[in-house]
Amino acid sequence: MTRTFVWLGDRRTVVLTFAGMLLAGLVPVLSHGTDWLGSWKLALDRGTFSLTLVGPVAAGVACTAYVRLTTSGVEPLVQTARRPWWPWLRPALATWCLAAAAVLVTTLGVTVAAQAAGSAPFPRTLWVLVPALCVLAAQVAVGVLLGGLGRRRWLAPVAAAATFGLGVLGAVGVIPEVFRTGGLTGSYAGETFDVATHLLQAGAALGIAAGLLTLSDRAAVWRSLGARAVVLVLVLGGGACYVALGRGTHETTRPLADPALVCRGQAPRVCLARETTRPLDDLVRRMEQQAVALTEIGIELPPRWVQHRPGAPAGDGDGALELFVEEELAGEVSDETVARSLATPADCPAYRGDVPPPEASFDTRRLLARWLLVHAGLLEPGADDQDRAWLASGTDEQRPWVLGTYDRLRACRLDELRLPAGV
Amino acid sequence: MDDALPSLRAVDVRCRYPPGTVDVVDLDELALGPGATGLVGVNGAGKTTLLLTLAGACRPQHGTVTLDGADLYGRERRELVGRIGLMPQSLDLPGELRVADALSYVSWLRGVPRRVAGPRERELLETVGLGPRRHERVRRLSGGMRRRLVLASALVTEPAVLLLDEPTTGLDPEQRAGLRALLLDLPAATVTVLSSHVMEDVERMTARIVVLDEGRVLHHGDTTAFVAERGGPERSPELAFLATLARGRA
Repeated sequence: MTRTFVWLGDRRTVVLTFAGMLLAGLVPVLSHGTDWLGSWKLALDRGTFSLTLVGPVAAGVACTAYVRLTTSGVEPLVQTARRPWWPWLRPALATWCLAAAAVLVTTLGVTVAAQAAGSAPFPRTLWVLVPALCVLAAQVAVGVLLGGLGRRRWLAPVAAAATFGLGVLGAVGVIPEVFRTGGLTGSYAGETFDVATHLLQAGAALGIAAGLLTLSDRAAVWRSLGARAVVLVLVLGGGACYVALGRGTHETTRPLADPALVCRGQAPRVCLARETTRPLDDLVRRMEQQAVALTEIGIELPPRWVQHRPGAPAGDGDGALELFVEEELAGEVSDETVARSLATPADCPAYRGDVPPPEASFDTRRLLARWLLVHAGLLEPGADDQDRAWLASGTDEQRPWVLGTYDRLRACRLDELRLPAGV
Repeated sequence: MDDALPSLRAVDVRCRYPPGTVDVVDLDELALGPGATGLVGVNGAGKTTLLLTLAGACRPQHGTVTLDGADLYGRERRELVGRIGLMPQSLDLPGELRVADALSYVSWLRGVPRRVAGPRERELLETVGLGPRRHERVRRLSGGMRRRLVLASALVTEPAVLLLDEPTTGLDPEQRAGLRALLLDLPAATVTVLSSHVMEDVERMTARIVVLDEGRVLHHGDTTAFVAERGGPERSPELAFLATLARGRA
C-alpha cells in the first residue's frame, strides 16, 4: 500500500479519500430517489452515473498528488528510472484505482439492492462499466495535467471543476458526450446499452487520457519507442472516435430486437418487460378487479396486455399497457393507469404515428376508463362532470356503447369512434 | 586515466530550457575521473542543469555525455543511469512515509531489484546513521537527518558516479561536519561531483575543482593548486573563486 499510494498520503488519508469518493458517488445515484430499484439495468446505469462526481473528485486528488510529486524534487529521480513513465504514471494509476473501486462498490451496491427489490439481473450488460472506467481515466488525466504542469495546490479544485464542466459541456451538446456516463431518464424496459456508442466513448476517453498524460510530462512518457507507439495508437484512435461521436446522433441505449417478457394472471393476462417486473403483481390484481366490468357485459378480453417497449412492434391482438416510467419502476401502479390500459385493447399504430389519432379516440378511451373506475367503485363522478349523467345511467343503457366502442378500439377503427349521446 | 576506473565525459554539450534561447550549459569538454570534483559557480551558473545532464535526467539539446565511453542518452541508457547516483538539491520525500519506506520507494524508483534492495537499504541507513530511526516518519527527521536520508537515496544503486547538488545547504555546522565525514568515507574509486556554494566544503572534500559561469567552464584543475595560486596570501578559496570569476568575465 505504501508504495502504490505514496503521493496520495498516508493510510488514513487514502481511506478517507476513498470514503469521500464513495459519498460523492452516492449523490448523483440518489439524486432522483431510488427509482432504480425497479430496474437492474437502470441501477447499473446509475452506478456509472456516480462518475459525475467521483470523476471530478478523482481529478482533484490526482492534481494534488502531482503537485506534491513535482514540487518534491523527485522528478530527476523519476527521469533516471529505468522506465520513467512508470513511476510518473503510478500516482495516476493509484488515483484511478481508488476512484474505480468507489464506482464499482457503488454499482455493486445499487445493483444488489435492485435485485433484492425484485428486479431481474442482467449481468451480461456489466461490460458498460469498462467504457465508464475509460472515462474515469480521462477525468484523472485532467487532474494529472493540471497538477503536473501547474504545480500549485489551488489547482486541485480547478481540476475538479474543469472535469465536472466537461461533463456538463457534453450534456448540453457543446462537445461530444465523452465525459458523461449514465443518468438516463427511462426504465430500460426492452432496451439495452448500445455497444457502438459506448465503444466510441471509450476510445475517445482513452485517447484523451493518453494525450493528457503524455503532455503532463513528455520527457517521462514520450521517451521509449514502445510508450510512443502506445500513445500514438491511443491518441489517433481516440481522435477518430471523438470525431465520430461528434457526428450524427449516438444513442447510449438501443431497443432489444427480441425483448423478453414476464407474464402473470389469466383474465386478463399481463406482460411486462423482464427489466421492469416490479409492479407486475399489483398490476395483475388491479387489472383483474377492473376487468370484471368488461367481462360481465360479455366482452372478450384480448389474450394479454403487453407493456409498450420502444421500437418493439405491437403484437397482434395484444392490449397496450400504458404505464408511466415511474410506475414501471415502482412496486405499485395507479387505478387510473390500469383503467387507461384496459381502455386500450389494441396497440394501434395511430397511437405512435406521426399523425395524431382522431380527437374522438382520446375522448372515448377517457370515458371508457372512467366507466371502468366507476364500476369498480374507485371513482365517484363529480357534480360538474359532463359525463356524470351517462355514468350514473344503468348498465343496460351503457352496454351497447361500451360493446361497440371496445370492438372498434380492438380493431383500431378509430375514425368510427363516437361519444354516447348527451356526453 | 585508468580504463578500469569509471569516467564521465561531456563533449560539446549545450542545454537550454525552451522556449528560452540562452544556453544554460555550454561546454566544449569536461572529463571527470575517480575521486571528488568540486563544482562551483554563482547562482544561475548552470551547476544544477549540468549535474542533471550528467545524471541522465536532462537530455542536452546538443552534444554527448558518455559514461565509460557509452552514450548516456543512447541505447544503453537504462543500464548506464543505474550506475549514477544523484543527490538533488532538495528532495522532499512524503513526510508521512517511514524512513525505511522512503528509501525503499527510491530503490523501486531507481529499479533496484527487490532481493538486493532490502539488505542494501538497511546497510545504507546504518551508514548514514539513520538505522535506529528507520521506523520514524520522514516528517519527524531534522534537516540534517533528511539530507542524510537523501544521500542514502543517492547510494541505493551502488553508483560508480555520485552527483551531489549542494549537499550541505541549509545545515548547521555540526550537521555539515557530519555529512562531510560521511562523504569523505565514500570509496575513492567513485566519480564524485560535488556542487556547492560553500568553498570550505569544496576545499576540504575535493581533489579537483570546476568553476562554472554562465554555463561555461572557467577553470578545471587541482583544488589545492587552485587555492594556492589564486587565493592570495591568505590562501582563501573564496578569493580564488572570485579571482577566477573576474578573470573569466574579463
